[in-house]
Amino acid sequence: MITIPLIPVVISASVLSLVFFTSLPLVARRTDFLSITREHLRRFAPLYFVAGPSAITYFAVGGTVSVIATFIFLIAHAVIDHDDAGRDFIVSGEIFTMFRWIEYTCSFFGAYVFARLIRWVGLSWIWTVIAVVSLAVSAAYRTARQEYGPNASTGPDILLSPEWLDAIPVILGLGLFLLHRALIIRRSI
Amino acid sequence: MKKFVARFYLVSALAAVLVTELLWVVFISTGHENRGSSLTTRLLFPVLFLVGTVQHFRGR
Repeated sequence: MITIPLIPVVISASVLSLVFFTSLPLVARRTDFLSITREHLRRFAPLYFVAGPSAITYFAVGGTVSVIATFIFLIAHAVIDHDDAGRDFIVSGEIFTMFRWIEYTCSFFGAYVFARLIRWVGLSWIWTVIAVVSLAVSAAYRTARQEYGPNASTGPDILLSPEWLDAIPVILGLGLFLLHRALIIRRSI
Repeated sequence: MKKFVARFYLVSALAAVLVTELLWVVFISTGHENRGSSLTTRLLFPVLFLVGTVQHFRGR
C-alpha cells in the first residue's frame, strides 16, 4: 500500500518553487539557462510533456495556491473580522467553492502556458494535443476532498467517474492560445 | 562558472518536475489512499507516453 504524504509534499514544493522562481530572472539573464533548457526539453519531450502539464498544474501549482489561499482566508477572518467564520466555512464545506475556482483558474492558465511552452520549445502540434488531453482528463477526474470527524482533512481526490464539465477551462485555455497565435500571424502579414 | 550555475538550476528544476510527475502519476493511478481509480486514469499516462514517444522518434 502506497500512501503519499500530501502536506509535506505540497509545502516542500511551494518552498522550492518560491526559491527557484525568485532567483530565476537573475540566472536567466546572466547564464545560458533558457537555451540549455529549451534544447533539453526538445530532446526529452516525452519525459516532460505527458504527465508534466497535469502534475505541475494540479499538484504543484493548484495544491500550493489552495493551501496559501486557505491560510490567507483564515488569517483575514481572524485578524480583520476577529471571528471564527473562516473555520466555519471550512467545516461546512463552503470553502470548496474557492477550491473549485482555483482548480478552474489553474486549468485555464495551465493549458495556455503549456501550449505556449511547447511552441517555445519548438515541438509539433501533437504535443499540444497530448498536453491538453493530459490536462482535460486530469481535470475531469480530479476533485477536492473533505473528510469529517476527529481526523478531518481536505485535499485532492480522484473520482471513479469523470466530471467532464471541469475540463471546459482547459479547452478555453487552449482557445486563448489559438486566438493569440491567430492575432500574431495576422499582425505579421 | 556560468555554465555550471545554469546546469545546476536546470537539473534542480527538472528533478523537482520529475518527482512531481511521479507522485502525480502514482496518485492519479491509485486514487487517494489507494481507494481505487478508474481504468481511464490508470491507462491515461502510459497511452499518452507511448503516443508521445512514437511521435518523438518519428519526428527526429
